[in-house]
Amino acid sequence: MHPLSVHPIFREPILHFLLIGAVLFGLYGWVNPDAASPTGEIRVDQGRIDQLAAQFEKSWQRPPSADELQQLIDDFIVEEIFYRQALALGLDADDRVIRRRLRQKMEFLTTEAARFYEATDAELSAYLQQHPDKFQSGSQFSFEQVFFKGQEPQLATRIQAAEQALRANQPVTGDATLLPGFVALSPAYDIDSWFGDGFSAQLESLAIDQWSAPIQSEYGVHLVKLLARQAPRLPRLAEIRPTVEREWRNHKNQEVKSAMIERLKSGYSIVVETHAEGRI
Amino acid sequence: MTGLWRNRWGRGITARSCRSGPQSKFECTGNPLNLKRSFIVKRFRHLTLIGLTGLLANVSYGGMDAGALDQKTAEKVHGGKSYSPYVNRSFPTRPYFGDTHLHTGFSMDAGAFGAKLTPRDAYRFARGEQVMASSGQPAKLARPLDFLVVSDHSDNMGMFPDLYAGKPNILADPVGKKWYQMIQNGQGPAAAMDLIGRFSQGTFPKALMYSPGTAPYKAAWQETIAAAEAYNEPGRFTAFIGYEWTSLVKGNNLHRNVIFRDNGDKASQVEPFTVYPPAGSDNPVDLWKWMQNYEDKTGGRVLAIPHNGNLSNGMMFPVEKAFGKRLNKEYVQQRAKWERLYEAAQTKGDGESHPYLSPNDEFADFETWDKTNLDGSVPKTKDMLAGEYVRSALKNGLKLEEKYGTNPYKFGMAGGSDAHTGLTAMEEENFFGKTTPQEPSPERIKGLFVNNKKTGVVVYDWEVGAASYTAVWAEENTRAALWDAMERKETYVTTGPRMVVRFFGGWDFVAADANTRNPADVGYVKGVPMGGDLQNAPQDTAPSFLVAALRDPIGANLDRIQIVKGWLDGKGELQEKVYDVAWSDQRTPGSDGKLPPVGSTVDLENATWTNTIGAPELIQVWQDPDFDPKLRAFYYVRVIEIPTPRWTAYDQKRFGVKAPENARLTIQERAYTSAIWYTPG
Repeated sequence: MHPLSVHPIFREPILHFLLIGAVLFGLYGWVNPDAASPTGEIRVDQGRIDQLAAQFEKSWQRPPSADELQQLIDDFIVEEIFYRQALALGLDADDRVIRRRLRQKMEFLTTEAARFYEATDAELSAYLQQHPDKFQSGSQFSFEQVFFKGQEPQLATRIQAAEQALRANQPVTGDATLLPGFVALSPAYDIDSWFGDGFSAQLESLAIDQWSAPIQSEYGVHLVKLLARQAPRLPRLAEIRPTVEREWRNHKNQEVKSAMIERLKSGYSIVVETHAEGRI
Repeated sequence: MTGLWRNRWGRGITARSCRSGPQSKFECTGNPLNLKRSFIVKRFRHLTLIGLTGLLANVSYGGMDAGALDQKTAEKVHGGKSYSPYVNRSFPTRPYFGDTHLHTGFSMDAGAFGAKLTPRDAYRFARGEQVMASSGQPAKLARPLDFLVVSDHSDNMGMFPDLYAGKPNILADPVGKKWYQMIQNGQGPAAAMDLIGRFSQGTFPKALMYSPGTAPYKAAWQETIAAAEAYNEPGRFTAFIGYEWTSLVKGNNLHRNVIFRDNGDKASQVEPFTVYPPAGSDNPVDLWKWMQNYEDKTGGRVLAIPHNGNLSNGMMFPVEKAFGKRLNKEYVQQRAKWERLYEAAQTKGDGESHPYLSPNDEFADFETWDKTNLDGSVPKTKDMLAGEYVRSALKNGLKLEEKYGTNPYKFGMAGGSDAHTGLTAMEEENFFGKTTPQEPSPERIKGLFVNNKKTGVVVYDWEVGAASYTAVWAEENTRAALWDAMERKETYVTTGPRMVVRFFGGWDFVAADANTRNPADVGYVKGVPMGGDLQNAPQDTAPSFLVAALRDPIGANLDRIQIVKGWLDGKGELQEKVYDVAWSDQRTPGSDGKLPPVGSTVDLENATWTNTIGAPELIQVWQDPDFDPKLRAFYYVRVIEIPTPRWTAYDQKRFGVKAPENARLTIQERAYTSAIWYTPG
């Protein structure tokens, strides 16, 4: 049983947090009247008001009315009070939601830092050459197929007749199926997602533009005419630049994040205390 | 009503084949064959580019595909003569599979559960890459998905676009100015290290640390958009921009996922609509206003997909009042306009039917979650159920249409996982759970999902289902093509397996149509696909339907195809009936009209099954035997697989654990298509 299971998962945790905070605040104030007294000034300046209005407009696509703006300000003041009191009460400590949220903000920052790196052609070309497995396109095929299913020995007889007809350039009717009769140039994984694992591998050895011997799939038997085959190849940078940049940047993000963590760690002396038995 | 629908159609029509005739209410402006260059054409161009120019000249075409498709039909479908009969084909030739509903660590609740994966991780995983799950174990899909919507919550904006743009407030700060100049001079890496250094030493300039709402970090919404932009790859993988509007009214689930047709340039002009006043609202009516405003402002398009009516305690599909107001013309029109699809199955229960509402349907009780609302605060009572399930909503929609002129519940079928892990892994034998604590472990089978001490409602982790995905019949794998197909409801939901399902309705399908080489050709010519409309029955003619299903190539065989009909009878009563229309193993229906069960090959101890029962493919033409042209009706397809091990059985085997005694260990996976509606003239 996981620790949060007593809580319904979809309720907004921040709402819980605020409600619980409000209750604690009341209790605390009741027990300790001085602690709950107002602390400091809450100033809602024009900049803040403009910002509240701008946020509203981003959501609603129109500026707030005077009433709505007043509501926004009132709501902001309540939020600010709760926020300050919650911090004063130390309600942010040991709160998993808040800790994770703050961690997430730090991680956003590292993602942003990685954006300082410029993706030059030279840099990306090198990355492409160093990671061919990431960018290599697999075999691709285009073909036509006629499908047969049913019981032997009738099946074999029908297929033989079909093969003869195809050789004589006669039309052939296969069995009805949702499998495509024609497949445009498509990667092997795509073809296998239709015909089942291993089907594309059987296309490797076929001669272009000739009807094949019967080929087995997950569903039955196929006569296949291979129209085109494209061997695996490593595209040039110009063909896939956005993809390479994405992967390279992803890599950079990891680097920057690791560097940041190392750097932050170096500012701490970290002690892990284990129990006597040595269990963590 | 018609005007409204046509308007919506008019905007999405380029992605659809034009059809005319009495059976189709859709009209077409312009010629889509000209408007649209199919993906196939592009691929053929590609062929020539790669040096296979000889191919086109050499291919002898005579013996290829004449099949049973007669010449006249072929011309109508293929739009006249050309080298290949497929070149100008303007209908969808394959379904694309994806998840319209996934949360990552960006969602606060997901983060609270320990999810660390980001939208970028989520897209990588859905594209078929291996990623490290938040629980520290590697995860990979058996096959890539074709599309994904990351539907997280939102906030804030970033400093960095401002920094790049050299905004005055940034340049006013000495450090900001220094970074700006370094970037301009190609010293980005040094600037990055300086930023990290200052951050770790606490000397990050306060002026650049914008106050909440304009934070220095890139905000979740902008990063969500950036992630979708980075991983969207037209033709290969579609990364939709989207979010979840998480309305919860007293614990009753009214959530909607909002999906953008557009790219980041439009989506980033707005911020997601939220639920807390004064900035937001928990009333769907206000969400629809937000959607309208978005479209008006940007010229973009959005649609919404509600989910988990089963946890709404009757609020999802109101028939009399919503939020204290009587339903009215405005409500039904807006709902029909914006809520084009409904998520009919997901991890928190199946939403197609309920055994109490459909006592004669032996398949109605499937992965049922009917104990309570979302948070367990109010137990379910039977009177709530009719406002919660797809079939009852489709039925009530007919009645509301009669009353208000528009059917608010004329939605198509979608499927999403609603996983909060960043991992859309919804196969029984590769299920990564709904939340991070539910990622694979020996303990998860005994976990508790909801445990409300006050109401005594308990839901166990084993009750969470490995479901579901949306299948979209689109012409190509792009945001626009997939979204347009969703908008016209040419979709179905599967509970995990990738079965291919076709469904066409018309007035003149005949048995022989099921034997044609490519059933879709005749389907589109003679009828409308799933999500379409039939009107004004010709004299003495009942609608006929062409239906076909192909099993997942790495999945289980099919037990049967059913057509579910709902109608509003002459007395104003709502009726429903489930017809078995195609099945495996030459079974004969019993005297009660029921088809015997297909049996089971599941070996629970080893968590295996065999395809020695069932059929790999079923195709049938079916005509409604009880049709009355004066009555409103809908028809949708339910495809049912043979029994296979449920994820709980795989867990038992792999972890050597024992599931709780009453836990379900087998499952008959299924697909539900969008309906085809009949409306009297």
